[in-house]
Amino acid sequence: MAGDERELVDGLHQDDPGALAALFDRYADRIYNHCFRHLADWAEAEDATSSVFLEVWRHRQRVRLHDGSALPWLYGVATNVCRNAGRSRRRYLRAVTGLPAAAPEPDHAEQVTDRLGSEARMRDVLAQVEALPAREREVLGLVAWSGLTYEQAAAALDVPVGTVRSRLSRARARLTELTKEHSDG
Amino acid sequence: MAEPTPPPERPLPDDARARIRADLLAHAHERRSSAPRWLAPVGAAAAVALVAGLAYWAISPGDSEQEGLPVTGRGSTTATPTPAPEPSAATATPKPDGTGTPTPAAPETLAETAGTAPAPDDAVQAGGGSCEDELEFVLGGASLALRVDATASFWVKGEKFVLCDELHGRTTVHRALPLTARDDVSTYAVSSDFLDGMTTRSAGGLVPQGAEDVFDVAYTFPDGHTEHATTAVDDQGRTWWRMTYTYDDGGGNELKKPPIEVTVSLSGVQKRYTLRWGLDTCAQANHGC
Repeated sequence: MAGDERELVDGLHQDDPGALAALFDRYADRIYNHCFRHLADWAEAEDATSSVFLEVWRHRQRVRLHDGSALPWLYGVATNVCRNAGRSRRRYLRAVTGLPAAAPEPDHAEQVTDRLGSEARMRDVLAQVEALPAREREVLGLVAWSGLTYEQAAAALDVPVGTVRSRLSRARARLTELTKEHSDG
Repeated sequence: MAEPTPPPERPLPDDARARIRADLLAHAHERRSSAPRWLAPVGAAAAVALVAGLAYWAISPGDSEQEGLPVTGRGSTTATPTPAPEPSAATATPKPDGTGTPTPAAPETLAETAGTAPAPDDAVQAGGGSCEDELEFVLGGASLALRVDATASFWVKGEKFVLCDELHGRTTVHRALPLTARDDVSTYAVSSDFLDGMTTRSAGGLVPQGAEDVFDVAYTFPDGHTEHATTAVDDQGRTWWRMTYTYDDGGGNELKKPPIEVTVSLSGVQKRYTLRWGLDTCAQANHGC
Protein backbone atom coordinates (compact mmCIF):
# COMPACT_ATOMS: atom_id res chain seq x y z
CA MET A 1 0.00 0.00 0.00
CA ALA A 2 2.76 2.43 0.93
CA GLY A 3 4.67 1.89 -2.31
CA ASP A 4 1.42 2.11 -4.13
CA GLU A 5 0.66 5.46 -2.55
CA ARG A 6 4.13 6.69 -3.34
CA GLU A 7 3.31 5.97 -6.98
CA LEU A 8 0.10 7.96 -6.66
CA VAL A 9 1.87 10.94 -5.18
CA ASP A 10 4.60 10.72 -7.82
CA GLY A 11 1.81 10.65 -10.40
CA LEU A 12 0.33 13.83 -8.91
CA HIS A 13 3.72 15.49 -8.98
CA GLN A 14 3.92 14.56 -12.64
CA ASP A 15 0.49 16.07 -13.36
CA ASP A 16 -1.19 12.73 -13.89
CA PRO A 17 -4.98 13.08 -13.62
CA GLY A 18 -5.22 9.31 -13.23
CA ALA A 19 -3.40 9.60 -9.92
CA LEU A 20 -5.96 12.13 -8.72
CA ALA A 21 -8.77 9.78 -9.73
CA ALA A 22 -7.10 6.89 -7.92
CA LEU A 23 -6.62 8.99 -4.79
CA PHE A 24 -10.28 10.02 -4.99
CA ASP A 25 -11.40 6.40 -5.37
CA ARG A 26 -9.37 5.45 -2.35
CA TYR A 27 -10.25 8.24 0.05
CA ALA A 28 -13.45 9.92 -1.13
CA ASP A 29 -15.55 8.14 1.50
CA ARG A 30 -13.28 9.11 4.35
CA ILE A 31 -13.12 12.74 3.27
CA TYR A 32 -16.87 12.80 2.69
CA ASN A 33 -17.52 11.64 6.24
CA HIS A 34 -14.90 13.97 7.69
CA CYS A 35 -16.59 16.90 5.96
CA PHE A 36 -19.99 15.74 7.12
CA ARG A 37 -18.74 15.84 10.70
CA HIS A 38 -17.81 19.46 10.15
CA LEU A 39 -20.97 20.47 8.33
CA ALA A 40 -23.74 18.16 9.56
CA ASP A 41 -25.16 18.14 6.06
CA TRP A 42 -24.60 15.30 3.60
CA ALA A 43 -25.23 17.43 0.50
CA GLU A 44 -22.75 20.05 1.64
CA ALA A 45 -20.30 17.31 2.50
CA GLU A 46 -20.53 16.12 -1.13
CA ASP A 47 -19.70 19.61 -2.38
CA ALA A 48 -16.90 19.93 0.14
CA THR A 49 -15.46 16.57 -0.91
CA SER A 50 -15.35 17.76 -4.47
CA SER A 51 -13.64 20.98 -3.36
CA VAL A 52 -11.08 19.04 -1.34
CA PHE A 53 -9.95 17.02 -4.33
CA LEU A 54 -9.93 20.08 -6.56
CA GLU A 55 -7.63 21.68 -3.99
CA VAL A 56 -5.50 18.56 -4.01
CA TRP A 57 -5.07 18.93 -7.75
CA ARG A 58 -4.38 22.64 -7.44
CA HIS A 59 -1.65 21.99 -4.88
CA ARG A 60 -0.54 18.64 -6.30
CA GLN A 61 3.11 19.60 -6.17
CA ARG A 62 2.81 20.00 -2.41
CA VAL A 63 1.24 16.63 -1.68
CA ARG A 64 3.36 14.80 0.86
CA LEU A 65 3.36 11.35 2.33
CA HIS A 66 3.32 10.76 6.04
CA ASP A 67 4.49 7.25 6.92
CA GLY A 68 3.78 6.21 3.36
CA SER A 69 0.27 7.63 3.28
CA ALA A 70 -1.16 10.76 1.70
CA LEU A 71 -4.16 10.57 3.98
CA PRO A 72 -2.93 12.93 6.73
CA TRP A 73 -2.10 15.60 4.14
CA LEU A 74 -5.51 15.03 2.60
CA TYR A 75 -7.19 15.44 5.98
CA GLY A 76 -5.30 18.69 6.41
CA VAL A 77 -6.72 20.03 3.16
CA ALA A 78 -10.17 18.72 4.05
CA THR A 79 -10.07 20.36 7.47
CA ASN A 80 -9.30 23.74 5.90
CA VAL A 81 -11.87 23.38 3.13
CA CYS A 82 -14.62 22.24 5.49
CA ARG A 83 -13.79 24.91 8.04
CA ASN A 84 -14.23 27.55 5.34
CA ALA A 85 -17.38 25.90 4.04
CA GLY A 86 -18.78 25.95 7.56
CA ARG A 87 -18.00 29.64 7.94
CA SER A 88 -19.69 30.48 4.64
CA ARG A 89 -22.75 28.54 5.64
CA ARG A 90 -22.98 30.25 9.02
CA ARG A 91 -22.78 33.63 7.29
CA TYR A 92 -25.50 32.55 4.90
CA LEU A 93 -27.72 31.28 7.71
CA ARG A 94 -27.33 34.56 9.58
CA ALA A 95 -28.35 36.40 6.42
CA VAL A 96 -31.51 34.38 5.91
CA THR A 97 -32.53 34.11 9.54
CA GLY A 98 -35.39 36.55 9.02
CA LEU A 99 -36.88 34.61 6.14
CA PRO A 100 -39.84 32.29 6.77
CA ALA A 101 -38.87 28.66 7.06
CA ALA A 102 -39.58 26.48 4.08
CA ALA A 103 -42.44 24.06 4.50
CA PRO A 104 -41.18 20.53 5.04
CA GLU A 105 -41.63 18.34 2.01
CA PRO A 106 -43.15 14.97 2.79
CA ASP A 107 -40.88 12.11 1.83
CA HIS A 108 -41.33 8.64 3.15
CA ALA A 109 -38.19 7.13 1.73
CA GLU A 110 -36.25 5.28 4.37
CA GLN A 111 -32.97 6.64 3.12
CA VAL A 112 -34.13 10.23 3.37
CA THR A 113 -35.31 9.72 6.93
CA ASP A 114 -32.03 8.09 7.73
CA ARG A 115 -30.14 10.93 6.15
CA LEU A 116 -32.09 13.61 7.95
CA GLY A 117 -31.80 11.69 11.20
CA SER A 118 -28.05 11.53 10.98
CA GLU A 119 -27.84 15.20 10.06
CA ALA A 120 -29.91 16.12 13.11
CA ARG A 121 -27.75 13.93 15.29
CA MET A 122 -24.57 15.46 13.91
CA ARG A 123 -25.92 18.98 14.52
CA ASP A 124 -26.56 17.93 18.08
CA VAL A 125 -23.01 16.62 18.41
CA LEU A 126 -21.59 19.83 16.96
CA ALA A 127 -23.70 21.87 19.35
CA GLN A 128 -22.18 19.92 22.23
CA VAL A 129 -18.64 20.67 21.13
CA GLU A 130 -19.34 24.22 20.05
CA ALA A 131 -17.97 25.57 23.31
CA LEU A 132 -14.54 24.18 22.49
CA PRO A 133 -12.00 26.35 20.69
CA ALA A 134 -11.83 25.54 16.97
CA ARG A 135 -8.35 24.08 17.27
CA GLU A 136 -9.48 21.61 19.90
CA ARG A 137 -12.57 20.71 17.90
CA GLU A 138 -10.39 19.94 14.91
CA VAL A 139 -8.13 17.63 16.87
CA LEU A 140 -11.14 15.91 18.38
CA GLY A 141 -12.60 15.46 14.90
CA LEU A 142 -9.43 14.00 13.45
CA VAL A 143 -8.45 11.72 16.30
CA ALA A 144 -11.68 10.72 18.01
CA TRP A 145 -14.06 10.77 15.08
CA SER A 146 -11.92 10.10 12.00
CA GLY A 147 -9.59 7.66 13.71
CA LEU A 148 -6.27 9.30 12.89
CA THR A 149 -3.30 8.59 15.12
CA TYR A 150 -1.76 11.49 17.02
CA GLU A 151 1.09 11.50 14.52
CA GLN A 152 -1.26 11.58 11.55
CA ALA A 153 -3.34 14.35 13.09
CA ALA A 154 -0.15 16.30 13.77
CA ALA A 155 0.84 15.91 10.12
CA ALA A 156 -2.64 16.92 8.98
CA LEU A 157 -2.65 20.08 11.08
CA ASP A 158 1.06 20.75 10.68
CA VAL A 159 1.63 20.98 14.42
CA PRO A 160 3.85 18.97 16.77
CA VAL A 161 2.51 15.70 18.13
CA GLY A 162 2.66 17.11 21.65
CA THR A 163 0.30 19.87 20.63
CA VAL A 164 -2.20 17.34 19.34
CA ARG A 165 -2.01 15.43 22.61
CA SER A 166 -2.50 18.52 24.74
CA ARG A 167 -5.33 19.89 22.61
CA LEU A 168 -7.15 16.60 22.73
CA SER A 169 -6.61 16.28 26.43
CA ARG A 170 -7.92 19.81 27.01
CA ALA A 171 -10.89 19.16 24.73
CA ARG A 172 -11.84 16.04 26.63
CA ALA A 173 -11.43 17.73 29.99
CA ARG A 174 -13.59 20.63 28.88
CA LEU A 175 -16.28 18.30 27.57
CA THR A 176 -16.37 16.42 30.86
CA GLU A 177 -16.68 19.72 32.69
CA LEU A 178 -19.42 20.93 30.37
CA THR A 179 -21.37 17.72 30.82
CA LYS A 180 -21.04 18.02 34.57
CA GLU A 181 -22.23 21.64 34.51
CA HIS A 182 -25.11 20.64 32.31
CA SER A 183 -26.23 17.84 34.60
CA ASP A 184 -25.75 19.96 37.74
CA GLY A 185 -27.58 22.93 36.32
CA MET B 1 -16.05 10.33 29.19
CA ALA B 2 -18.59 12.81 27.92
CA GLU B 3 -17.39 12.73 24.36
CA PRO B 4 -20.32 13.04 21.97
CA THR B 5 -20.46 10.41 19.26
CA PRO B 6 -21.23 11.33 15.67
CA PRO B 7 -23.65 9.21 13.61
CA PRO B 8 -22.27 6.21 11.72
CA GLU B 9 -20.32 6.81 8.55
CA ARG B 10 -21.90 6.27 5.16
CA PRO B 11 -20.35 5.95 1.73
CA LEU B 12 -20.45 8.71 -0.81
CA PRO B 13 -23.55 7.99 -2.94
CA ASP B 14 -22.75 6.38 -6.28
CA ASP B 15 -24.23 9.17 -8.37
CA ALA B 16 -22.30 11.83 -6.45
CA ARG B 17 -19.14 9.75 -6.66
CA ALA B 18 -19.46 9.42 -10.43
CA ARG B 19 -20.28 13.10 -10.88
CA ILE B 20 -17.44 14.36 -8.70
CA ARG B 21 -14.96 11.96 -10.26
CA ALA B 22 -15.88 13.01 -13.78
CA ASP B 23 -15.69 16.69 -12.80
CA LEU B 24 -12.30 16.16 -11.21
CA LEU B 25 -10.89 14.42 -14.26
CA ALA B 26 -12.26 17.06 -16.61
CA HIS B 27 -10.82 19.80 -14.39
CA ALA B 28 -7.47 18.05 -14.06
CA HIS B 29 -7.13 17.50 -17.79
CA GLU B 30 -8.01 21.12 -18.44
CA ARG B 31 -5.70 22.55 -15.81
CA ARG B 32 -2.86 20.24 -16.66
CA SER B 33 -2.54 21.97 -20.02
CA SER B 34 -2.07 25.36 -18.47
CA ALA B 35 1.44 26.60 -17.93
CA PRO B 36 2.24 28.33 -14.64
CA ARG B 37 1.02 31.90 -14.50
CA TRP B 38 4.46 33.29 -13.90
CA LEU B 39 5.69 31.85 -17.17
CA ALA B 40 3.92 34.39 -19.40
CA PRO B 41 5.62 37.51 -17.99
CA VAL B 42 8.91 35.69 -17.73
CA GLY B 43 8.58 34.61 -21.34
CA ALA B 44 7.69 38.13 -22.42
CA ALA B 45 10.68 39.56 -20.55
CA ALA B 46 12.94 36.97 -22.10
CA ALA B 47 11.59 37.81 -25.55
CA VAL B 48 12.20 41.52 -25.05
CA ALA B 49 15.74 40.81 -23.87
CA LEU B 50 16.28 38.59 -26.88
CA VAL B 51 15.01 41.24 -29.29
CA ALA B 52 17.19 43.88 -27.69
CA GLY B 53 20.21 41.61 -27.81
CA LEU B 54 19.66 40.63 -31.42
CA ALA B 55 19.02 44.23 -32.45
CA TYR B 56 22.29 45.32 -30.82
CA TRP B 57 24.05 42.38 -32.39
CA ALA B 58 22.60 43.23 -35.81
CA ILE B 59 23.53 46.91 -35.84
CA SER B 60 26.81 46.90 -34.00
CA PRO B 61 30.14 46.59 -35.86
CA GLY B 62 32.31 43.65 -35.06
CA ASP B 63 33.70 40.38 -36.24
CA SER B 64 30.36 39.09 -37.28
CA GLU B 65 30.97 40.08 -40.91
CA GLN B 66 33.26 37.13 -41.28
CA GLU B 67 30.32 34.90 -40.67
CA GLY B 68 28.18 36.66 -43.27
CA LEU B 69 26.07 38.43 -40.69
CA PRO B 70 24.58 41.85 -41.18
CA VAL B 71 26.90 44.82 -40.77
CA THR B 72 26.46 48.54 -40.91
CA GLY B 73 28.72 49.95 -43.58
CA ARG B 74 32.01 48.43 -42.58
CA GLY B 75 33.95 45.55 -44.00
CA SER B 76 34.41 44.10 -47.41
CA THR B 77 32.00 41.24 -47.63
CA THR B 78 29.05 41.10 -49.96
CA ALA B 79 26.60 41.37 -47.17
CA THR B 80 23.94 43.93 -47.80
CA PRO B 81 23.60 46.50 -45.10
CA THR B 82 20.23 46.13 -43.48
CA PRO B 83 18.45 48.23 -40.96
CA ALA B 84 18.00 47.02 -37.48
CA PRO B 85 15.04 44.72 -37.29
CA GLU B 86 11.79 46.02 -35.98
CA PRO B 87 10.67 44.15 -32.93
CA SER B 88 7.44 43.38 -34.65
CA ALA B 89 8.99 42.06 -37.81
CA ALA B 90 8.12 38.60 -38.84
CA THR B 91 10.68 35.84 -38.62
CA ALA B 92 12.86 35.67 -41.73
CA THR B 93 15.00 32.84 -42.89
CA PRO B 94 18.65 33.72 -43.48
CA LYS B 95 19.58 33.48 -47.13
CA PRO B 96 21.99 30.77 -48.15
CA ASP B 97 24.65 33.34 -48.99
CA GLY B 98 24.51 34.72 -45.53
CA THR B 99 23.03 38.03 -46.55
CA GLY B 100 19.71 37.40 -45.00
CA THR B 101 18.73 39.20 -41.89
CA PRO B 102 17.91 36.96 -38.99
CA THR B 103 15.08 38.73 -37.35
CA PRO B 104 13.55 37.48 -34.19
CA ALA B 105 9.94 36.68 -33.83
CA ALA B 106 7.79 39.36 -32.31
CA PRO B 107 7.98 39.39 -28.52
CA GLU B 108 4.32 38.65 -28.14
CA THR B 109 4.73 35.58 -30.30
CA LEU B 110 7.54 34.33 -28.14
CA ALA B 111 5.64 35.10 -25.01
CA GLU B 112 2.70 33.13 -26.28
CA THR B 113 4.89 30.23 -27.15
CA ALA B 114 6.59 30.28 -23.79
CA GLY B 115 3.48 30.77 -21.73
CA THR B 116 1.09 28.47 -23.44
CA ALA B 117 1.22 24.73 -23.42
CA PRO B 118 -0.32 22.87 -26.34
CA ALA B 119 -3.98 23.67 -26.64
CA PRO B 120 -6.07 21.17 -24.73
CA ASP B 121 -7.67 18.77 -27.10
CA ASP B 122 -10.10 17.48 -24.54
CA ALA B 123 -12.67 20.15 -25.05
CA VAL B 124 -15.03 17.37 -26.04
CA GLN B 125 -16.89 15.37 -23.43
CA ALA B 126 -14.79 12.78 -21.63
CA GLY B 127 -15.27 9.40 -23.24
CA GLY B 128 -16.25 10.86 -26.59
CA GLY B 129 -12.93 10.46 -28.37
CA SER B 130 -11.09 7.51 -29.84
CA CYS B 131 -9.01 5.22 -27.64
CA GLU B 132 -5.86 6.95 -28.83
CA ASP B 133 -7.22 10.36 -27.82
CA GLU B 134 -8.75 9.26 -24.56
CA LEU B 135 -5.71 7.45 -23.26
CA GLU B 136 -3.48 10.45 -23.74
CA PHE B 137 -3.95 11.50 -20.13
CA VAL B 138 -3.81 7.99 -18.78
CA LEU B 139 -0.84 6.50 -20.60
CA GLY B 140 0.15 9.11 -23.16
CA GLY B 141 2.08 7.80 -26.13
CA ALA B 142 1.02 4.19 -25.62
CA SER B 143 1.03 1.93 -28.68
CA LEU B 144 -1.65 -0.46 -29.73
CA ALA B 145 -0.64 -3.94 -28.64
CA LEU B 146 -3.77 -5.85 -29.55
CA ARG B 147 -7.19 -5.12 -30.90
CA VAL B 148 -9.24 -7.91 -29.36
CA ASP B 149 -12.42 -7.16 -31.27
CA ALA B 150 -14.45 -4.17 -32.38
CA THR B 151 -14.87 -3.00 -28.82
CA ALA B 152 -11.68 -3.76 -26.92
CA SER B 153 -8.02 -3.03 -27.35
CA PHE B 154 -4.89 -3.15 -25.23
CA TRP B 155 -2.28 -0.39 -25.33
CA VAL B 156 1.23 -0.56 -23.95
CA LYS B 157 3.88 1.93 -22.98
CA GLY B 158 6.99 0.88 -21.14
CA GLU B 159 6.04 -1.46 -18.36
CA LYS B 160 2.41 -0.42 -18.26
CA PHE B 161 -0.72 -1.11 -20.23
CA VAL B 162 -4.27 0.10 -20.45
CA LEU B 163 -7.43 -1.58 -21.64
CA CYS B 164 -9.68 0.54 -23.80
CA ASP B 165 -13.35 -0.27 -24.40
CA GLU B 166 -15.48 1.35 -27.05
CA LEU B 167 -19.06 0.49 -26.24
CA HIS B 168 -22.27 2.19 -27.30
CA GLY B 169 -20.42 5.23 -28.58
CA ARG B 170 -18.49 5.75 -25.37
CA THR B 171 -14.80 5.15 -24.92
CA THR B 172 -13.61 3.88 -21.58
CA VAL B 173 -9.93 3.84 -20.79
CA HIS B 174 -8.98 1.79 -17.77
CA ARG B 175 -6.35 2.83 -15.29
CA ALA B 176 -2.82 1.96 -16.31
CA LEU B 177 -1.60 -1.27 -14.74
CA PRO B 178 1.83 -2.89 -14.69
CA LEU B 179 2.48 -5.52 -17.34
CA THR B 180 3.64 -7.83 -14.60
CA ALA B 181 0.40 -8.40 -12.78
CA ARG B 182 0.24 -7.61 -9.09
CA ASP B 183 -1.11 -10.33 -6.91
CA ASP B 184 -3.95 -8.22 -5.61
CA VAL B 185 -7.47 -7.15 -6.34
CA SER B 186 -6.45 -4.06 -8.36
CA THR B 187 -5.42 -6.40 -11.20
CA TYR B 188 -9.01 -7.58 -11.50
CA ALA B 189 -10.89 -4.31 -10.90
CA VAL B 190 -13.69 -3.71 -13.39
CA SER B 191 -14.82 -0.59 -15.16
CA SER B 192 -18.52 0.19 -15.00
CA ASP B 193 -20.65 1.80 -17.62
CA PHE B 194 -24.30 2.51 -17.08
CA LEU B 195 -26.00 3.06 -20.41
CA ASP B 196 -29.59 2.61 -21.53
CA GLY B 197 -30.54 0.92 -18.28
CA MET B 198 -27.86 -1.71 -18.70
CA THR B 199 -24.63 -2.11 -16.79
CA THR B 200 -21.42 -3.19 -18.48
CA ARG B 201 -18.48 -4.37 -16.41
CA SER B 202 -15.19 -5.10 -18.05
CA ALA B 203 -11.61 -5.92 -17.14
CA GLY B 204 -8.52 -7.28 -18.77
CA GLY B 205 -4.82 -7.88 -18.47
CA LEU B 206 -1.83 -9.87 -19.46
CA VAL B 207 -1.73 -13.59 -18.80
CA PRO B 208 1.47 -14.52 -16.93
CA GLN B 209 4.07 -15.92 -19.28
CA GLY B 210 4.08 -19.70 -19.40
CA ALA B 211 0.63 -19.95 -17.89
CA GLU B 212 -1.31 -19.43 -21.11
CA ASP B 213 -2.90 -22.87 -21.02
CA VAL B 214 -3.56 -23.06 -17.32
CA PHE B 215 -5.01 -19.64 -16.64
CA ASP B 216 -8.60 -18.62 -16.12
CA VAL B 217 -10.36 -15.62 -14.66
CA ALA B 218 -14.04 -15.85 -13.83
CA TYR B 219 -16.30 -13.09 -12.54
CA THR B 220 -19.49 -13.91 -10.67
CA PHE B 221 -21.98 -11.06 -10.68
CA PRO B 222 -24.81 -10.17 -8.30
CA ASP B 223 -27.31 -11.68 -10.74
CA GLY B 224 -25.61 -15.05 -10.29
CA HIS B 225 -24.07 -15.15 -13.74
CA THR B 226 -20.43 -16.21 -14.06
CA GLU B 227 -18.49 -14.79 -16.96
CA HIS B 228 -15.15 -16.31 -17.91
CA ALA B 229 -12.43 -14.21 -19.51
CA THR B 230 -11.49 -14.88 -23.11
CA THR B 231 -7.90 -14.73 -24.32
CA ALA B 232 -6.15 -13.46 -27.44
CA VAL B 233 -2.53 -13.31 -28.52
CA ASP B 234 -0.79 -10.20 -29.83
CA ASP B 235 1.96 -9.89 -32.45
CA GLN B 236 4.64 -10.32 -29.83
CA GLY B 237 3.20 -13.60 -28.64
CA ARG B 238 1.81 -12.16 -25.42
CA THR B 239 -1.54 -13.54 -24.29
CA TRP B 240 -4.14 -11.11 -22.99
CA TRP B 241 -7.30 -11.92 -21.09
CA ARG B 242 -10.44 -9.89 -21.28
CA MET B 243 -13.82 -10.10 -19.58
CA THR B 244 -16.89 -8.05 -20.37
CA TYR B 245 -20.44 -8.59 -19.22
CA THR B 246 -23.55 -6.50 -19.78
CA TYR B 247 -26.61 -7.01 -17.62
CA ASP B 248 -29.59 -5.34 -16.06
CA ASP B 249 -28.56 -4.75 -12.47
CA GLY B 250 -32.06 -3.70 -11.46
CA GLY B 251 -30.97 -0.28 -10.22
CA GLY B 252 -30.92 0.65 -6.55
CA ASN B 253 -28.04 0.90 -4.16
CA GLU B 254 -25.09 -1.18 -5.30
CA LEU B 255 -23.71 -1.32 -1.81
CA LYS B 256 -26.66 -3.40 -0.70
CA LYS B 257 -26.05 -6.00 -3.40
CA PRO B 258 -23.72 -8.96 -3.20
CA PRO B 259 -20.24 -8.01 -4.37
CA ILE B 260 -18.68 -9.18 -7.62
CA GLU B 261 -16.47 -12.18 -6.92
CA VAL B 262 -13.42 -13.01 -9.00
CA THR B 263 -11.89 -16.46 -9.18
CA VAL B 264 -8.43 -16.66 -10.69
CA SER B 265 -7.15 -20.12 -11.56
CA LEU B 266 -3.51 -20.68 -12.28
CA SER B 267 -2.20 -24.20 -12.76
CA GLY B 268 -5.06 -25.54 -10.76
CA VAL B 269 -4.51 -23.16 -7.85
CA GLN B 270 -7.42 -20.84 -7.23
CA LYS B 271 -7.46 -17.39 -5.69
CA ARG B 272 -10.59 -15.46 -4.91
CA TYR B 273 -11.02 -11.73 -4.79
CA THR B 274 -14.05 -9.75 -3.71
CA LEU B 275 -14.46 -6.46 -5.52
CA ARG B 276 -15.42 -3.60 -3.25
CA TRP B 277 -18.22 -1.50 -4.73
CA GLY B 278 -16.88 1.79 -5.95
CA LEU B 279 -13.26 1.07 -5.11
CA ASP B 280 -12.76 -1.94 -7.35
CA THR B 281 -15.68 -1.40 -9.68
CA CYS B 282 -14.67 1.94 -11.09
CA ALA B 283 -11.46 1.10 -12.92
CA GLN B 284 -11.95 3.65 -15.65
CA ALA B 285 -9.60 6.59 -15.72
CA ASN B 286 -11.07 8.92 -18.30
CA HIS B 287 -14.60 9.42 -17.01
CA GLY B 288 -16.79 8.77 -14.01
CA CYS B 289 -18.70 5.63 -13.17
